[in-house]
Amino acid sequence: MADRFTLEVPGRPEHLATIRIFASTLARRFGFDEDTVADLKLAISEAGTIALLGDDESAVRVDARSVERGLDFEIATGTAAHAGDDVGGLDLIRALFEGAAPGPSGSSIVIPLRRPAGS
Amino acid sequence: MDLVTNHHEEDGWDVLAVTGEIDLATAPQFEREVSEYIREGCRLCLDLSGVSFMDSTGLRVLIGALKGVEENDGSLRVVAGDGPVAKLLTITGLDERLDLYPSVAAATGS
Repeated sequence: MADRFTLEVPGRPEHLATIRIFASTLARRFGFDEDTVADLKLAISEAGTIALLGDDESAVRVDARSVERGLDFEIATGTAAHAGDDVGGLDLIRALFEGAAPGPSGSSIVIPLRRPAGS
Repeated sequence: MDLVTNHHEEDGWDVLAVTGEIDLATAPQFEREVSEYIREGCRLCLDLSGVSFMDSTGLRVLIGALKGVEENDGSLRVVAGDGPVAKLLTITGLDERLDLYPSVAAATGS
């Protein structure tokens, strides 16, 4: 059975750092190296920024679920899951994690973190 | 983590050294402090080697600074270090647009 971890913070920019700490701590706990952790921090921060810019009134929620070779992170972004621009947003997240995509509801971004097969 | 900036002049350059994390929370401060040194013919060196984290909100400040400097016939040089800032600039291709140097001494020619 998958383990689940959830963090919900007030929808204010100063809590982006808290989200990054949550995600990076989990990734280290699951054995990912520091390069991957650094990429995850950036991707999580981008997703959190999308959430905050899309709706700065709501809390920002991050869910993580253990899977066979790693973790799936899902960040609720309201209606702004497709947001991106010339230097950031979903395009940057995808550059870091190829499998990242809007969640099934279209109101979140899912970031898959996987160890290479056989590791 | 707070953003801390330190300014000094070196061989005719305004050197702004930044430490801490640059994200949506701290980018407005970063933008404000950078804009203080953008003026006609300015020579601005941003030392970001002490920045432990930066996301695209910081990149937008750098792009804005570059535009501002160019509009004022000035020069902008960036010391990115070999950490997260350098990696982000490479991923986004901004390393091709910015004038990058390995150290403040190299950037200011001192």
